[in-house]
Amino acid sequence: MLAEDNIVLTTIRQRRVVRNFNEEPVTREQMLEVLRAARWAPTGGNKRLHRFVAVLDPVTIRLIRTVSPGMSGHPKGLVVVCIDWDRVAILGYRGPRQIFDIDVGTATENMLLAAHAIGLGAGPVTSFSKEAVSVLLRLPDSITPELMVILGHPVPRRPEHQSRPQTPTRLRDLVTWEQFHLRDRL
Amino acid sequence: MDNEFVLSEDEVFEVIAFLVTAARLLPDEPIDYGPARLLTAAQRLCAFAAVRCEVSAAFLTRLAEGIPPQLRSRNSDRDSFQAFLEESSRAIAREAARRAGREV
Repeated sequence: MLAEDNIVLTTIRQRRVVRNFNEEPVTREQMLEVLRAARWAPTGGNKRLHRFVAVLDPVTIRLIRTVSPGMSGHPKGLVVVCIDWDRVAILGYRGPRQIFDIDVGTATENMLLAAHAIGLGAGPVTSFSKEAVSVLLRLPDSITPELMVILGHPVPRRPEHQSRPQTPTRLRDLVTWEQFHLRDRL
Repeated sequence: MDNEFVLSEDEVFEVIAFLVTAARLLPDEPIDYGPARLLTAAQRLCAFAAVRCEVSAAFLTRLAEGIPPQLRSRNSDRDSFQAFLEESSRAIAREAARRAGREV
């Protein structure tokens, strides 16, 4: 099967970060679809160290936006990806926390793709006050918010508003074959 | 008018919350986020205040409308972003002088 005919690969290529949304609400069923995708994301050792707080209430979203400098638009739903540190302790994890961040990333990517697949726009937000969001969501100390996925129906972007890099990133800018070759970075 | 309120309490609160939470986050973020956050705060203030200002309404509206495109392109066209900041600073000086009744 050619990549062009594969719906998964096409979805991966077409997905874009969306930050501007219209007034149409996100339904509970749409939110559930996005959350199911997070559930299917790979996690290290299949340990499931994360918890997800799904928010559709407009007032809560407005309050979270108030303490989230990285949230420029007005989403109609959001998912807060959290790490459950009690579970980390129970399972006896030691070592760097980056392994947990990887699982935040896999869940996030699945949610972004699922949102795109069902016609929503979505984007990740990391510039938010963890302390303030913890207060607003009544998170216990053992649950920390790590990343938010904002959701809504995208406002079509005018061409002049596309923030594309002047020079597109090519595969060869990112990849070397078999061994690392410094000259390929030039 | 000097003594008229041009921001609601909710609007003031939103901008203060934005600034304080941004201050907490910026030491851990890329260096270009600093100017971006300040401009975003300025854009929100301009947009809130422009509807109630009298003397500088047009100036604030223009500034508010000019910021978002620059934020989007600040990494892809740094020269343009820098030029925008410099020209905006000059424009603010001219507007400040105009408000004071002074020619510059």
